[in-house]
Amino acid sequence: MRILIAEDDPVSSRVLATTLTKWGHEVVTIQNGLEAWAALQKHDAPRLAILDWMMPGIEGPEVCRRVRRNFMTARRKVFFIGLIGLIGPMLGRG
Amino acid sequence: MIMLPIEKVHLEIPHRGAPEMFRAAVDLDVLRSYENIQLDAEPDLIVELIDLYLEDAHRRLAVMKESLVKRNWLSLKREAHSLRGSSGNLGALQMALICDEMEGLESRDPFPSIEALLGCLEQELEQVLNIFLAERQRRLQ
Repeated sequence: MRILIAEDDPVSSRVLATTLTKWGHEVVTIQNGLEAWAALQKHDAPRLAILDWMMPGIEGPEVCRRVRRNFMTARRKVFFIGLIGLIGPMLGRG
Repeated sequence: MIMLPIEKVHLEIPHRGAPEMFRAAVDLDVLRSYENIQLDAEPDLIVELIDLYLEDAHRRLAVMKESLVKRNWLSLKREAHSLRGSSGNLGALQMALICDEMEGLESRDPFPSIEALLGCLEQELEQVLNIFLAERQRRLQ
């Protein structure tokens, strides 16, 4: 499956992209919300997007809102890279 | 911040690159857990992650300092958020904690606290740098 990753942190983006590649997926990486929204409107856009919550340009939730409002993109699956990562439990946010 | 089903790696050879006093700054088990997703015939992922992190962390710290001068709270918060994520993902736990504290400050007048936290962050990054460079060198040998 082709998957879009929108994440401005290069470390998280690289780890996630490598993991998904190892699992056999094709990954497209993008560093900001504006580019993510542009990529998701394309005819051949990935059907699954993984977005960071906080990004330059447009933040993740706003990208998600736009995806949902637009009938061309509304059926795309969107996930968020959330606050429940490896460090989350240690920080009391797990 | 990401959540991945990564198993911990238990190395038979103990890490000898970093001085003992620096070990608390980084949990190398977290960093080395990425050996599980190393792709065949690709350059060492951990070396690549270290390089990405160090470049990114120094850049973000510079942006934070500039944002402090400009009293730009939103920019500071955004940089702290990203740096917290990447630091936690690579096991730089103290860095992540300092960023978390910064990100959680009240927006009314966060700047005096931020100035102090940025100083801590800078010192911590020096320690992380030493550990990561030692690990990087060890992996390239």
